[in-house]
Parts: sequence; structure tokens; C-alpha cells
Amino acid sequence: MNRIKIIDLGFLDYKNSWNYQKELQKKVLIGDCSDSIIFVEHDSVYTFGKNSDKSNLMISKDSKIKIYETERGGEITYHGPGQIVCYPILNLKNFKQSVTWYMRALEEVIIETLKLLNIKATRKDGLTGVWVKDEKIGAQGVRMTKWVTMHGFALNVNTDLRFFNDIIPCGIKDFGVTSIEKIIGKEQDLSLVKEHILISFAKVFNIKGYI
Amino acid sequence: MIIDIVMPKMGESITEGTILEWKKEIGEFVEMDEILLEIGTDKVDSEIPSPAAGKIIEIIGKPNDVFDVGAVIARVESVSDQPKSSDKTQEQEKIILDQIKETPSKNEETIEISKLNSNKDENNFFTPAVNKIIKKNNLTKDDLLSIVGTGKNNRITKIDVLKFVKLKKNDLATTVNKKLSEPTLEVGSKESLLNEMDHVRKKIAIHMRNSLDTSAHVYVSTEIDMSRIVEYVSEKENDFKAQEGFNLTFTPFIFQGAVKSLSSFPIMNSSIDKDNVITHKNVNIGMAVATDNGLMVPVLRNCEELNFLGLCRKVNSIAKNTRDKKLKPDDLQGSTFSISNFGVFNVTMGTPIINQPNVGIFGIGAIKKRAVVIETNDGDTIGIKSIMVTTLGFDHRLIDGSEGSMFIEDFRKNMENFQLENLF
Repeated sequence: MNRIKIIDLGFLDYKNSWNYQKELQKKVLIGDCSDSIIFVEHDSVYTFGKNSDKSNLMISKDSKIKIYETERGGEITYHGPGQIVCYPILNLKNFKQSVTWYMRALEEVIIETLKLLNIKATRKDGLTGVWVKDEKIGAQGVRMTKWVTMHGFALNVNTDLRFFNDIIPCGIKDFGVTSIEKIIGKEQDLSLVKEHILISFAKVFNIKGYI
Repeated sequence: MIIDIVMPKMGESITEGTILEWKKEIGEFVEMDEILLEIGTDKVDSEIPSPAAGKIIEIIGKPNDVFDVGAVIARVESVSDQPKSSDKTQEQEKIILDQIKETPSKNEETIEISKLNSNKDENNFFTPAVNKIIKKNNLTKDDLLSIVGTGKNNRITKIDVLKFVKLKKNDLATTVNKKLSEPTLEVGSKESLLNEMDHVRKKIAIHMRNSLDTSAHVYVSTEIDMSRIVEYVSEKENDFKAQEGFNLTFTPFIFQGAVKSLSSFPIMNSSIDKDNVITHKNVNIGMAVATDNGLMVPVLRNCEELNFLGLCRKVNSIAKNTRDKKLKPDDLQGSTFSISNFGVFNVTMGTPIINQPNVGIFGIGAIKKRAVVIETNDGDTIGIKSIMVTTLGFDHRLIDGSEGSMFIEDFRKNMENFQLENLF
């Protein structure tokens, strides 16, 4: 299996990293760049998927938080400081040409990552994402162009969960959200969690190493 | 020829898809491989390329309509007289799947990207300051491509490069690759279990590592003839138990012998504080006790003030409090020397780690009967003796081999000549 490139954008606003992924997706599509994983931490922002129900956002119009309508799948979600956002830009022809497989694989990466932190996380039947008990900890939304992916998943590490109060994340009304910090009771080192993600990613996607 | 466009199968268990958006209208021409529409499945939105070039003559599925995989959603009239497939009866679904699987050939999108790339090259004019950093850090073309420019026209600024260099230094890839190449435990497999250390274990781990990183550990060992004490204990243990209510063990003997030696060698009863030596007035002995939660080292304070019976009572009460988890934080602090009696586990000898900030520790082995040579005025003879191997670990930063050796020899003499009259 090809080696995968790691790109850590650090702290970057949504708009810029969005443009960055789009450009990278194009490069991967024409074989100009190897499959990559982008890590980024965003400013507070709400994003919609293309078929999101706008009524799931309940904030007032004068809220200072930016809202973006994106081309990914899935419902509304929140990104912000303390949350690891991971955008794998992969040509699924190098892995498996299946949307279902890819989404379950991303879930597996999050579950394995949390296992390394001694947190037992699970899937919920019919609901994409990763859950700890009845609270969502990892959210997913993906866009594909000719089997090349963009967008990906967000994992709440030290996220300020109050921002989720104003939305119905992913349109799921019955369950809450949680974070690693909330579960463990201590703020976590983001770079360590990123390492865990990469180790789990290597395992799930059968990757030998990173560049 | 009219080609049916069908809802593609995007995954093994996916049976339907939602049409999100058509990129073309009826009457428009579409190139082969050009993005024709967008569909949604699960939480993935996908852009679907056209399987053929031609004029769109019918759009069956409207946005938000859900179609089964394989259902016809549009029709394209091929402009070419020679369809891609020579077999006209081939299943339409297969055509679209083949198209998705194929690597995109030259199309508009490719041209667009090459334009983009050339734009990027133009932006790759770097200021001398940026060039200097690039050269200094041996950044490759690949590196530069992955830097997001925040300057005018997305130009890469000095700050962008410096930020990238900083990130590269604690490069995730290097760390993770290193971890991946290390033998890993299969987490949660049948052969192994992953459990977080409890609080006490974590503390012990840090404390032990810290001690090895601090002291210059050296060890000397000696054999101590405990026969007299062993005989004494077996003779007196019943009376002792009747009188005190707990067992007479060897520990208070060892403590008393150590206290005597520590009084003769005050340097063994000291601590190092940077370049200074703190010699302690009192003898506070840390006693290593195995508990369900791991090693604890409660402290017996002012041992020099206690007579033998006092030591017996203190050893017993501290050990009991430790195992019953009734220790107060103060009970674990202020030791000036430590004793680890792993002999209770029948171990012959060992090399204990110094309990910081002490400079010495005794490792007491099990008392075992040995055939030993006994020297008498009438010549040598072989006899059976109860031998206890004792090891002294000490900090060579402060104590030299000669001092350590003299100390353990003094302790041996104390034990072998233990004053056994009127102990209690």
C-alpha cells in the first residue's frame, strides 16, 4: 500500500482549509499528489451538508459564528477549538471502491483511537458516527469525486460542547454530544490524539507508513 | 444511440441513492467523464461522471428523489456513431460502473487543474527572506506545495514557511512511523488486554524512573549468619504473641541493626540537595510494603529513640495500617534510609532502587539454611547456618565503595552479635 502524506495545517479557518482540500483533491484525482490526511483545528463555525435541514440550526441571526454551506454529505455540525478535524484525501481506488466501507472504516479509526485512550466507543445502527454510550463523539461527512474523497471526520477532544446546544448535530435529536475531555475529566494533548488517529488509521487502512 | 444513465452502486450494502443536483440540463451536451450529477448516500455526497458523451434528452430523477441502484435516472443521446462498448446489449449499469472505475482521461477538469498549477507556480516567487529559510531547512518542492500561502494571491510568506518548519520539526509522520515500526500489542485481542495504570501505579512508575535518573546506583552484598536470631525467634515467638498479640518477625531485628549502623555512619542517613549534603539527625526508615495496590513505603520515624519492643510495635502497626489503607500522607514522607525485605517472598537476593531522596537502601534476602565453613581454633568444620544475603544499594554520587562496604560490614556484625538479652 502506498504511503500516505500527513499535512497538519495546525489552526486554520474553515474557508482557507476548505479551499486547500479542494485543491488537494484535484491533485490527488489526477495523480499529482499521493493520498493524504489533513489535520486541522478550526475557529468556531457551523457547517451544513448539502441536504441539511436548516431548521436544525437554532442560533440567532446576530451570532458572530460563521455558517458555511458545504458540499459534503451529512447534516449540520459544529467545528471549533479543541476539536481534531481530519480530512483524508484518498483515492478509494487504492483501497476499496465502496462508500459504505469507507464510512465504516472512518468509524473504525475513531473507535480504535478512543480504544488507545481506554474509551469504549461504538457505532449506532443506522446512524453514521461514533458514540460513547448515548453521546456522539465523532461526526462524519464526506464528498467524493470519482472515488477521491474530501471532508472526513471531526473528533471532539477538548471541544467546548456548549456550542452544540444551538444545533441538532447531524439532525439527530435524541442524543447528546460528548468529548474525550468530558469522559476522562482532563484536557487532552491534541498532538497525542493525532498520533493515535494515525496509528489507528494505519491499522484500519492497512498503511505501512506515512510521509 | 440512446444510453440510459442509472443510479450507480456506491457500496456493497447500498441499495439506493438520493439525487442531489444535476450539473446539466435537458438539451445540454455532456462530455464523457464530465461530472453529470451529484448523489447522496449514507453521509457521502458523490459527484458522478457521465458514462458517455452526448446530448441529454431526458432527466427522470429530480433533486431529493430517491432511486434504487440500477434504476434509470436520465437518458443521453450519444453523438458518436461508435459507442464505447461494441456490445450494445451490455447492461447499462455496468457501463456506468466501468466509467467510475476508470482513471479520468483528459477532460475539462484536467485542463482546469493544470491551469491552477501554473498559477501556483507563478505564486511560487519567493522573497529572499523566504528563500533563505527554504534553503536553510532543505525544504523540498513537495514541502512547498503543501504550504498554504496566506499572503497576497496566496503567496507564501515568511511566517507561513516558519510555521511549516516548526510543524515539520515535531513531524507527526516521523513519530507515528516510529511507533508503527515498534512491536505493538494487538489491543483488545484474545492474547492481550489493555488497561490503564491506576493512580498509584503511575506514581510508582514515575518515582522509580526518576530515582534511576537521579542516583548513581551501586550495590554491595554480604552473607549474614542469622542463626542466633532465628533460634531466638523460634524460642520466643509463642510468648511474644501471647504478650503482644502479633507475630515476632525478623524485621525489627533488621531495623535495629540498621539503626545502629546508621548512627555510626551518618553519611548513609543523609540526602543530596544539588551541591549540598543534608545529614539527618533522626533515623527515619522507609519500609517497603507490598499492598494490593502496589508498593508503598511508609516511614518509621525517629527509630533511634525506640527500644526493641517499641520497634516491633511500630513495624507491626505501620505494616497493618498500610495494608488496611489507613496511612496518612505524612506516613509516607520524610524517610532518611529504606529497607526492602523481599526475603519474605523467598528471594535470595536483589538490587532495590533507592527511595529518593535517600542515599541508601537495604535489600534483604530470605533467611535460608546453608552448609558453611566454620573456622574454630581446632580447625575448620562444616556446619548448618541460617544465612541471609543482604544487599546495600547506595548513591555513588555521595558514597564511595569503601564507605558502602564498611557500612554493610558494620551491619553484618550488628546482626551476628545481636544483643538478645532482655529484649522484651
